[in-house]
Parts: sequence; C-alpha cells; structure tokens
Amino acid sequence: MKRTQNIFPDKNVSMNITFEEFTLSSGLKVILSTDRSVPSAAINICYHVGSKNEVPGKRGYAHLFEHLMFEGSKNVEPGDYDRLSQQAGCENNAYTTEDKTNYYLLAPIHQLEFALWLESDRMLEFAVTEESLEIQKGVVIEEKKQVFDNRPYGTVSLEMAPLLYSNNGYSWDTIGDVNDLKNAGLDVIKDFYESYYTPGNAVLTISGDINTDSTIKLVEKYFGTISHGNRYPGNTPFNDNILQEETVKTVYDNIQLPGIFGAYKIPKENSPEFYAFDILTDILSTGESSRLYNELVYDKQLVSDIGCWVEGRECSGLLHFYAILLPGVSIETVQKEIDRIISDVCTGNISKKEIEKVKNRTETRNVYKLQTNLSKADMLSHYKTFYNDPMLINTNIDKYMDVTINDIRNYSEKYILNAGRVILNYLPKN
Amino acid sequence: MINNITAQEKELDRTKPPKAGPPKDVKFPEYFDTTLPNGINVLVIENNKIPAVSVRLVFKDAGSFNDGNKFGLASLTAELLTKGTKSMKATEIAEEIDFLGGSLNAGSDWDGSYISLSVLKKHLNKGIDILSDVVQNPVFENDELSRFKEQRLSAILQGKDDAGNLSDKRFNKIVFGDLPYGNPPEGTEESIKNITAADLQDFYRNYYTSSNLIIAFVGDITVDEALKFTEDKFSKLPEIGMNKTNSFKYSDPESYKNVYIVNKPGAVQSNLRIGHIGIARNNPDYIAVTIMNTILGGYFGSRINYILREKHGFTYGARSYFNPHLYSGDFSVDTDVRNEVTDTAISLILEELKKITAENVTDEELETVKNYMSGVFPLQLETANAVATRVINLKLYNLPKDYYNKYISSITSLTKDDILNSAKKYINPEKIYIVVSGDAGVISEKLKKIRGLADL
Repeated sequence: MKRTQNIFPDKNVSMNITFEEFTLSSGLKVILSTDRSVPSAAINICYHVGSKNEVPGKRGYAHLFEHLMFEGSKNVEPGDYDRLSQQAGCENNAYTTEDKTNYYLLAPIHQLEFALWLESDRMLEFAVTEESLEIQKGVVIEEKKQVFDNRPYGTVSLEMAPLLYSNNGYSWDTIGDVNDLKNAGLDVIKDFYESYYTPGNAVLTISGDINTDSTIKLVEKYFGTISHGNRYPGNTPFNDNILQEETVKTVYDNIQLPGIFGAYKIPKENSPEFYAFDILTDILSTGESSRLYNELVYDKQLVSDIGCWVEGRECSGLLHFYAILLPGVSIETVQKEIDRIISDVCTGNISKKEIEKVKNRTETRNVYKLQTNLSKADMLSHYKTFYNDPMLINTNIDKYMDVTINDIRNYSEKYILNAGRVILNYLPKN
Repeated sequence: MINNITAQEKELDRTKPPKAGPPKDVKFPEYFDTTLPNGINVLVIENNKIPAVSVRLVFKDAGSFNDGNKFGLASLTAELLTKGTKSMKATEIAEEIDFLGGSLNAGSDWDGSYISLSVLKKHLNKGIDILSDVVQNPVFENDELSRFKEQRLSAILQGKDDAGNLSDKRFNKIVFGDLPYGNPPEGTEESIKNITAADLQDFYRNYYTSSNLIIAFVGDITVDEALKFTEDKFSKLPEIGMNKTNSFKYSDPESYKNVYIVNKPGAVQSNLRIGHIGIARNNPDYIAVTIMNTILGGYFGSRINYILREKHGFTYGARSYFNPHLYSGDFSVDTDVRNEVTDTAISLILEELKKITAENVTDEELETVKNYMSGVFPLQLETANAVATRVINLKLYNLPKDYYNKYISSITSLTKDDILNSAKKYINPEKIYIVVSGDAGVISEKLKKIRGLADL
C-alpha cells in the first residue's frame, strides 16, 4: 500500500547497536553487546512476570518478590547480595512493572564473573526466610506511603487502575494492596518463584566492555546448568473491556491546587497505533511550543503544569493527560480547553512544520537514549522479552517514521474521539 | 539432556564468589581547557559516540547566593533569559528550539547560573545562534516576568504539599539563619511579588560577564570549532560586572533549640532532617568526609539505611548527605518513617552519629566503601555530559586540576584514623538540629519523650 503524506520525508540519523543473541539449553535467552567506552558492564535480567500475573488476594506480590530477591539465595546469605555486590564495586537495583520484573548490576569489568555468579544464584534456588519476608513487607508498606499516599496527587495510579480495567491484572497498581501484602505467606511466595523465576521465563543481557567468546563461556558456566522447574503457567488470556463512557471521580487530597488526571485506552506497545499516539502526544505537550503548553500555560495562563504521554504495556496501552490548575481557575474551564485542543489535533489539524518538529525530536531522543550500557541492556532485554525482537532498539525509529497524518486521524477517531475515558478530579481537602 | 545439565551443575562450586582479576585502569578523559583574554574559560570535552553536541554555559557567582534580600532573583533572571530577546519573542524561541528537536534549559543554583543547549550535530549552528542571542540580548519584558511570577507563586504554593520540601526549608533556615544559604532559592510569596524587571536587568549586568563565564562544548565537536564559536558568538558580553558580594561568615546561632516540628496534618509518615553545618566543596577533607559519610548513611549498604530499613523495616530508605556549596554546606540525615516509630528512628540515628564520632569503622566497612566508590567511578564517566559536569565542577569550585586523576588513589589511601578524624571534625552529635515534618497531633507527644521539644 502506498502511503500518502509520509510524516518523515528526510533520512534520519540512526544509531546502530550491534549485539549477538543465543538461547541456552536451560531455556535462558541471552544477548551480548560490546561497548568499550568505560571498563564496566551492565548485567540485566528481565523476568517476564509483573503485577498483571497476580490475582486478587495476592496483589503486590510481584513487587514484594523483587524486594525478596535481594534477601539471599542458595549460596548467598541474607544481606549478602548487597554487601558482596558493593564490595565488588558494583551498583545494583531492580524495578517491577505490570508486565516485567527487571534486575540489574553495573559491574567493573574485572568483576564480570562475580556478577554472573551472584545473579545466577538467585535464579538457582529460593532461600528467603520468614524473617526477611516480614521486614520487607514493612519496607514495601512504607514505600507505598512515601511514594503514593504521602505525596501530593500520589494516589492517581491507584485510583485510576480499577476504573480503567475491571477483569484483568491491570486493574490494580503494581504496588498492590496493603492487606494482601500483610497476608503474604512464605509458601505462596515460594510458589510464585517456582512459577516465574525460571530460566525459560527470563532474558539476560550484558552490555559493556566484554569479550564475546569468554563471556559466552561464563554465561554457560553459571546459567547453563540451572534447570529448576518449568512451571511457567503461560500468559493468562487477557480479557479487556472497552470503555464505552466517561467515568469521572472526585478525589480529595492534601493539596493546594486542583488537578485533572485523565486516561484513554489505546492499543498495546509496539503496535502501529501506539507509535502514532506517541507522536500525537508529542504534538500536544512536548516542549514549550507544543499545543497544550503554548495555549494553556503560556497564552491563557490557566494551568501551572500540563502533560500528555503514552504508556506502553504488553496487553493494552494508555494515553494519559494531566493539568495542575492555577489558583481561581475552574476544573470545567480547563477540561473544556483540553478537550478542544485534543480533538483539534485528533481530527488531523496538524501543520507540516509541526510534523517536522516531531520528527526532529524523535530523532534526537532516539540518539540520547542509547548512551549508557544500563539503558541499552534494559531496552535489549525489553524488546526480546515482549517481541522476541531486540533489533527493535535500532529499528523502532522507522516505526515512528511510518506514521502518517491519516493514521493519527483514523486511530484517534476510534480510540479517543469515539471512546470512553477515565477522569480524576483532585481537589484540596480543606 | 537434563541429566547432562545436572552432572555439570554438580561439578560447579558455587559456594564461594569467584576471585576477580586485577581492575582495569580508569582514566579520566582528556579535555581542552583555556582562558581567553576576555576572561571566558573554554572547555572542550570531545566525544563522538553519538552525533550530538551540548553547549553548557555557567556564570559563576550568578547564583542565589547573591540574591540579597530579593530571594528568587537569580533563578528568575536565569529562567527569563529564554523568554525574549531584542529580536525574538518567547514563543519564537521555544518554537525554533523545539523545531530543531533540541533543548535549551536555563536555571540557577546557590553558586551559579546555567544555560545549556543540546542538539544533534547537524542542527548545531542554528542552535548556537539562539543560545548566543538569549545569553547576550535578553530583554526581561514586564509581561513575560509577570507571567513567570504567577507560575513561580503557584510552584511555591505547591511546595507546601511536599513534606521533604517543608523540612528542607526549615532546616536551611535553622542552620544558616540569615546567611544566603538559609534563604529559599526559588523565593517566597512576598519576595517574588516584589521583584521587578529592573532587578533582573541589574542582576544580569552584574553577574553575566565574560570573566564569570565558563563555556563547555561537549560531544561531537572539535577544539577549533569550539574556539571559533566562542569568538564569533559569545564576545558581546561585558568583561567586568558592576559589583560582587561573596563573603561568607558562619557563626553558630546564639540560641540553640534541638527539635522543630513542621505540622502537616494528615501525614502518614514523618519526614526527618537531622544535622547541622557541613563543608564547602573545596574543603581539602572532602574525599575523607565523603567516604566517612558513605559508611554512615551515604549508600544502600550504609549503617543508617541498614538499621532503619533492612533491620527494622521502618522506612523505604534513609540516607545522610554532606551537601557542599561554594562557600559552605550542610550535613543532614534524611528519611521518611512511619508515624508510630518517629521517636525510635530519631534515637537510632542519634546513636549512629555518636558511634561514628567515637569509634573506628571496621576494616570491612572501609574496604567495601573504597571498592564501591572506585567501582562505580567509571559509571560516572560514561557519557560526555557526565564527564563535562565533573570538569565544570573543577572550575566552579576551584578544585585542583588533577583532582579526578587522583580521585581513586585519594580514596584508597584513606585509613580508619582518617575516617574517625573526619567524623570528629565535621559531625557534632551534641549540637544537632532535628526537623520533623509530619502530623504534630500524632507525633509531638512521642517527641517530647526524647529531648526537650523546642518549637511547635
């Protein structure tokens, strides 16, 4: 099919990240990428399990589990994961989303073997104690208070999830439910491990100052012989409901200024629609010359802050927007303005210059995000885990290039203009 | 195949961590550094890993330190630079920069003001034209200023929602009193309302001078290109400003109170700042103090994080900081703990402050932090902009030229005595300030039990 109105007529600056990939007989998928900028390496493991794999009664377990993975394994005593890793000069951390749990170590290159030993041990065998479980429950509950409850507008994602989804694992936030967390027993946690923390359910990416041949040998040595369980229950079917109407909820919070937080459901990450909506949100709110910023922050001075972005997920994506109102401005006024501007862009009222601007920004962003081993390893693992296509690190720029104004218009008609949405109006308690 | 795997697994000894070979040398990247006759200090950190260039301008002394009694003046001046020049309106500047796919950010901190451009190499010429214009020809229009003041006032209002922000403000006021570092760099509701376009003009004339200017060219650019850009595009600034006031004289506040509560009704955690005066960035003991503080509370494996998070589960995290500025700095332990344990957490922190000033750290603690700090050092040099930040700091804070070349050996040569001495010298558990931002109704009774409550 010949495309009309291609948004990106010129050739773009592209980056070429080279890598090798292979699969061990244990089922672990491995990606190696060499970068000699500094004598260190990022070791990234992505387990294909997140909060969407949970069920009511066990909400927050994927993330609690992320904490527990630092509490010792077969040959690593409780507390030693961090102690040994710091002694070796490594930085480590992890994060959990709806779809994945990701762990990384940043190691000086002479400690690569140590890092693989340390990381492989927690894939080898579960060894978390009752005591560690109780302490980490306390830490996670404080994390929820600090990051969500005690932060202004911090409960948006908690309020939003059940209004957007009703019958799947996206209907609660990754942080989970305090009662479910308090009730977590060691047996259930161990079962979670046996189900999901298997070599076949993971991708290991190493990016850095590595020698490929010797690294392959080290990976085989430490990960090649892990054979425990292949109990991965598979991806549960994702049942989704279409939002037919607008749901509006008012939330009273410890805040000074009212805020509007909205979301539309859009297709999943890496779909053609998703790339088109990413471009749409750039036109709306990236940069001071963007539509929403220019009109509502600068020109009409109705809001102090405004934003719009897409959130990519494995089974269903979201298009979010928010605005924090200036004192004395009404929610109705701002909502009306936002709707007017969104629908103007969604119906295809986009200038040539605006399009070229988005092209330039996408190009720049693509170049800057490939600078560190940490971000490269994270992206390679991500694309392998969800799309079995790590080459997307180099090629997804083309998917942005393929977006046309017609795409934006057509997709918007279905997913924005004729779709339901969720709106949260945050108002001061006092 | 499973049998084969099991057999191999039996042969592998996983009980001990494998021994590492010798570390690879970490070299701080070479960079170009010269000062032109007009006083501009040009730095070039060349790196063509990505086809992009950042141009970072730093105006020394143009920071909140020199706000006088017009708190927020330095930051408004910096941010208004991009809001209109003799030939371009604010909207045109934003449109042009966005069109290039670049970013142009201006702002300030205590000790300087900053404006930086990041663009792909192919857009560099156009980007620098805009940068040059906003730095040399800003107009500080009334209309733009009043727009910006409205935004700033709403940001100050929103700041009252954030427990950490409330604690920081109170803590700085207690530690520094009426000295510049005690004032809010973003301004107060009152001070912002009183700042005029003429104030911005004055501040700009005083401090945006070529002798105050450091320009760092970072990324895919050569020294020749950088020098030519400097000469062609940044020669219009005056060399010397009108006047400068940068003396700093600290004395302990006359009346000493130890506990301060910032009431935040409905808070589900208490936000803590526990500390006192710290050190300036160029203090010769800076590295020893950093290593000492890392053991105390500076990283995940530190004593304070271990006790409060890993041992008791009181918090998501706890850290201590020596936060250094040009002329002085502060020291504080920062954490958010659940309401019920506010008093216990404070007592545990105070015990740790006493312990670090009374006893030697262990060999293992010191060894671990030395390895950790040396191990993560290359990660701080991974991008050209990260290197540039360090080079700029050398110049801004008057550090020795070989500071980063000697960085790892300065760390590894420290002894347990050095650590104890730096703790004794720079931490005083007997004269510590405790700021708690939280629900006074819930926590004040508990706090009274620790020590005399000073101020509700």
